[in-house]
Amino acid sequence: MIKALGSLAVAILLAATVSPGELGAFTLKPGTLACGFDDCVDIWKFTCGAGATKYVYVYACDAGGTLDDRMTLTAIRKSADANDGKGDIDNVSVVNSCAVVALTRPVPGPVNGLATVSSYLNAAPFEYNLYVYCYDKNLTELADPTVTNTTNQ
Amino acid sequence: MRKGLFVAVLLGLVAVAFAGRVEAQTIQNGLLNCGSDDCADIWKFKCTAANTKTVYAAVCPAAAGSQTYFNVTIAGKTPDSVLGKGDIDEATYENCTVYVSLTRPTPGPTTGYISVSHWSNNGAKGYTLYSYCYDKNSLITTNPVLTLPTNQ
Repeated sequence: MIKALGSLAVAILLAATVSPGELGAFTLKPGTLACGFDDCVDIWKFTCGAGATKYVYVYACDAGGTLDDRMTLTAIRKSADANDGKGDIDNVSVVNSCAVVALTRPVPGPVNGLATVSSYLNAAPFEYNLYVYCYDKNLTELADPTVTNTTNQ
Repeated sequence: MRKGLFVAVLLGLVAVAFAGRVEAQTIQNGLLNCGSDDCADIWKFKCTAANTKTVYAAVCPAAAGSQTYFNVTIAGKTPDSVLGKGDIDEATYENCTVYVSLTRPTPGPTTGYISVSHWSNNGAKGYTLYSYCYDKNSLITTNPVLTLPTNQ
């Protein structure tokens, strides 16, 4: 329940942020999954390079209006310290909606990570948009993150 | 006599090789505290052998009658050539996933992540994670080291 409310809140935040005419400090990457049944995965690496980074929000959103089963998003911190491998998962099953995962640094600093996207949708290909946002401790957006596709299935 | 000795030595070698094969894997039990792909366990793996070429991982239900579908995803961390490279599989109902793999372009130590989740609304589910490190000839090298930084 808490997670669902959290997803709703960030979805509203996303909708507000990407309203036409507004500029948001985020990076959007379109993706396509070539098969369903969670047998294909796209993996993205991302970097929030600002030293003030406290939070990273990753969204995977239905882009084709075809989602009729779940799309799953996982985000994982990549670091050289004890936070390496910290992450979370979310999924969404509503057309034109987003799965959302937030990563939090204990203390501000650059954040590197990986995001995986898969879908149980059986009507491949499935189109989605991946958004990555970097925030400081006051939830002020920081510079656009670098996002690169590393596995494209 | 000599033939008997030869057979004994041969059996010994086979036993040693078999023992090595059995031991050269890492098995970890895990517990996902919720279903519907809303909980994930994220494991870190490390194959330390310099001749590591491919890493394999699979997940099985901890017990029969799991009433769910397990999902396993592998993603590389180091070296840079495997960063973000990976694979996924979702098991059929109440069965093991197939092995997902991560292959280096050239042999060397390899690290990365293995994410495990399950899809059902039946709550907590136990599982067993199997992982292996192989060389270029598909021979098992050292046991992978597994740790669990995300335990949901």
